[in-house]
Parts: sequence; C-alpha cells; structure tokens
Amino acid sequence: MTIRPLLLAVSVSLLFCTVHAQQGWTYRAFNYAGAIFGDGPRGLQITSMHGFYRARQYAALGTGYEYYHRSSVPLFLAYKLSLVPKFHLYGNANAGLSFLLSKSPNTPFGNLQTKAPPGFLGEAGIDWFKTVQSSRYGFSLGGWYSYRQFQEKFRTEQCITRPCSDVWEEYRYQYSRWIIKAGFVF
Amino acid sequence: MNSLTKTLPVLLLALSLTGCVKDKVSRTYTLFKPVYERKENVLATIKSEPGKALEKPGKIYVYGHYLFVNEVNEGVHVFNYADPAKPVNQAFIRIPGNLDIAVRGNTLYADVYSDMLTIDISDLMAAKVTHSYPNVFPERTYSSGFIADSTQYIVGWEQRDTTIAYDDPNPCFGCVPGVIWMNDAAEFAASTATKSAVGVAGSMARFSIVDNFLYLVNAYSLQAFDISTPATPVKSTEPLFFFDELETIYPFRDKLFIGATTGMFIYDISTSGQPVYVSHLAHFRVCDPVITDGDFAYATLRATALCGGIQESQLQVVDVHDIQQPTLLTTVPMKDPYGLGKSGNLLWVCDGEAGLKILDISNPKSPSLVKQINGINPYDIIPINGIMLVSAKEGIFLYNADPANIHLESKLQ
Repeated sequence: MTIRPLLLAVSVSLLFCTVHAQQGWTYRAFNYAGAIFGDGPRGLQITSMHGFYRARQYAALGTGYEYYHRSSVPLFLAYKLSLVPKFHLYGNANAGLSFLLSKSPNTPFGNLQTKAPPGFLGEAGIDWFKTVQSSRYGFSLGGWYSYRQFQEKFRTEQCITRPCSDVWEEYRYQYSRWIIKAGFVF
Repeated sequence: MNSLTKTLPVLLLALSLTGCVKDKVSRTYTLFKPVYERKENVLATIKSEPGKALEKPGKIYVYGHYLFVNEVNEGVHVFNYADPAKPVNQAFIRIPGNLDIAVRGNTLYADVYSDMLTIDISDLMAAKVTHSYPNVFPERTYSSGFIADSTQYIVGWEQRDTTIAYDDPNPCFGCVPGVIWMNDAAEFAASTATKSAVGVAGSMARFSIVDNFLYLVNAYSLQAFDISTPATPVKSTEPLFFFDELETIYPFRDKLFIGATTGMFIYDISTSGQPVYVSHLAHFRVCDPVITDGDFAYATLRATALCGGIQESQLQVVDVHDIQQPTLLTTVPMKDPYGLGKSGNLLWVCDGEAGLKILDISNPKSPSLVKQINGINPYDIIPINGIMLVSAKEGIFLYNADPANIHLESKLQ
C-alpha cells in the first residue's frame, strides 16, 4: 500500500485550512458513503470533502477510499452549486486523481516490475441536501455518475538475442459507474 | 421556473451518461514479427571492414594477443592487445546473426543465425567464408510459431506497439505479461583449458576448441566436430541430446563442464571427439555458466524471468574432487550474475548492474568479497596472463589482476 496519496491529501488539507480565514467563506465538510453500480460487482465508496462555501457555491478538497474491482484512494477537487434552492438540490462536479492501492504482484516469470501511476477521476451528480434546522449539521442523498481510470505497467524482458532488453506492457482500466451517495454534513 | 431551466440540462446530462456505465480495459504491448532473408544474400554480406567502435559487445575470445569481441548479431571486432595499455582496434568482420566465436589458426568459427561458418582470417582485412554447416543451431530457425525454411534466416524482428481492448474488466490482475517470443541465443561459457585448447573463450561461450575438436552446445544438444582440417569441420559424433536447455561449455583437462538451466553436466572427452557422460549436479531452474579449476567448480545461477528462476540468484561452489559425485559446498547471494573467471585465489564475478565482484576463494567453503567495481554492467570475463578481460555494456575493460594492485589498464570502445 502506498502512503503517497494520503500524505498528499493531508498536505493539501492543511493548505486549505489557511484559507479558512478568508472573509465570506465558511468551512463545511461533506462525508459520503456510496454504493457503486456498474458493469462489475457492486462497489463501495467512502469520501470526505472539506472546503468552504459562499452564497450558492462550495469548493473543497476530497479524499477517501473506494473499492470497485480494485482498491484505490481518490484525491480530488470538488465543486457544488445550488441549483434549485427551493428544493435543496445541488449540482456537483469532482475531478482529480485516483491512486491504486493494490498493484499486481511482481513475479519471477515475467512481471519483473510493476508501476501504477495515478489515473484521472471525474464525477458529476445531483444531491438533495438539507440541514437540520438551526444547526450546521445536515444530510444529503444523491445520484452520481463516476469515471475512473487506472494504469498498470509491467516490465518484462525481451530476449530474442541476449543481452536482453526491457519491454513494458501497459494495461489501462476505465470504469464508468453510477453511485448512490448518502452524506452527513457538518 | 428559472430554477427548473437550470436543473433540466443537468438532469439531461446525467441521463445521457447512462450508456457510458461500462468498464473497459485496453492492453498495449509490443508485437514482434519476423523478418526473413535468403541465406545467399546474408552470406554475401560477410566481409572485413576497418575497425569500428563497439556498440553492443557480446561474447569474447582470446587467441594469442588478439581479442575477438562479438558485436551482438553484427559480427566480430578484432583487437590486438599485445600492449594491454594500448590495445589496437584492427578490424571488424561483418557476420550477421553472430553470437558465438572460436578461433584456431587462421580459421574463425562463428555462428550465423542457425548455421555455423568457418572463415579464413589469414588476412584480417580479407576474411573469406570457406565452409557453411547448416542447422547447427536449429533453435534460431523458429520462434513462436515462425519457421524459416532451409533457404532463409530469420534476420530480425519488426517491433511495433499494439493496443487491444478487452471486455473483461480485469483481464490481467496478478497475471504475467506475455510479451515476447523468445528465440534462444545462448549464454556463454569460458575456459582456460589446459588440454591444448587453441584459444580462450569467455565464461559464457557455447563454442570450445580442445585439441582437434570443436565442441559446441545449442539449446538442446552437445555436438563435436573434427577440425583437423580447420576449414572443413566434420561431425565426429552424432549430437547428444538433453532434456535440459544447454547454455555454456567449459573445457578443463579431459572434461567438459556444461552449464544447463537445471544443473551442471560433466562429460569426459579423453576419447577425443566422443563426449561420454560422467556426472550431473542438479539445481533449481536458472541460467548458469560454470567454470572449474579441477578441484572446485564455480557456477553463477541467475534467476530471472527468462531463466524461469524462482529462487534468488547466487554463486555456487561445488566440490569436484570426486568427479563422479560433485557436491555443493556453499552458495553466495548475487544480484544478476553472468560470467565469471578465476585468477589465483580470486574469483571475478560479473554481477550485472551490481558491477564486478572479486571474491577471495582461498577457502572455497567461505568465499569473501574483497573488492567490488561499480559503474559497469559486466557479463563475461576472461582471465589471461595477469589481465582480466571484461565484456560489459559499456565496452571491453582490461584490468590488471594483481591481487595487491587491481586496477584498470585500459578500455576498448
């Protein structure tokens, strides 16, 4: 398991905290648990977004954990816009990177080295969000479209004549799914 | 109403994405396709040229004060190293598909793809093919279902990247990339043969000359040729076939030590040209050149993907006092070992990217590292007259082997 995405998430979160004092922006966190529906077996997503809102807009940095075919850690920028205030409907768009947690193992018979560079993630959805009266807490429920891209590169040897040289083989995974997300907001 | 006009496009966008809910996987890999050429066209290109720079040095062979360096698949460089500090690049003999060499008198023995040639080098600048022996290395006529007929060689491989899409969303989680079609080339072997060996090969050679016989191994057989008439070798025995993949051949006195992927074989050649099985020491599946000093044999076992190794690479020291029953004495971990050579009580091991390792083997049961030369990627070595000739990716290095003053004499490029 790589610790790099977690460190990156913590670093950017700290950076966000320094913006907290900016006038007109108010801190708010959205924490989601989601069920993933796609071609593959049902998956799970847990994300936490920390950011600031002003008027009808909200911008945040998010991270979490996802399991859909593979385990991964997403790291993304999030944007919310109140679409229909009367019905508490919000439009959402997230974009960022996804880091694979479970790389394919190296083997002595060909897969000498594995690289898994982060892949693009993009999500869009609509949330119904309601705060509990006279408090900063609230709940949300939404439907999202989610796209994930992962890469894995395997190094093996090419040896038509020796000395041998390296050859890389690349797998690119693209997952498109629906996610039903339930959120707790504070 | 205003709100609805804003919401509607978003809803429509979401609905339009329904068809996109799908997993896709693409695999990009390298595809190799053989390039065939008629034999007469290839043989017509064999000729001498002025000395040129080393690009991809392979196996090495010493004859007198001449050093022959294989340029992988291109030919043979000839250096005069009478003065090790100032070697002279004398000539390049273009031999397409060449990997192995041996020399006796004015005759150069060399493979050209699947065939073996004898080449008259009495005039280095006018090398001339005198004889061609077909299909000595049959493993180089076919690969991955491609077979060259008897009139052709596979002279190269077109390489291109190919991408294919899979429906299976997880086609290769934890599996092994299957890129290549291997067409064996070989490993080398070495010698300081004491029974009238004509030249000295690197420790990974597949050719070896002892007395009037040329012994060679291809992937699955040991062959012997009578070279009493150097330009026209004659088979002295039928090929001896093995179940194991053979890699290297090393002559010592009246024995041949053969390195195979699954062990070391010892053959008796006291009846010249008629190798007779003596013994075998098995090991796990790896690539392994072997040398000996008569009392002990030293083999590097390289566990890589192509060698099928599932254990760690290592140096093995084998007691061969009882030639009928060689026994493993000890092992030393290595990183990516290829050739090796012995000079006095020092064993020089080419350990690939880990450099050149020099071990004190005065007590063969416990070899100890005395020096490591980094910054080169060596894979074959010949100890001769106090000089260690090292073939590396970076060129040919000549080291003074004096234990008290090991140093680089010169470098050939």
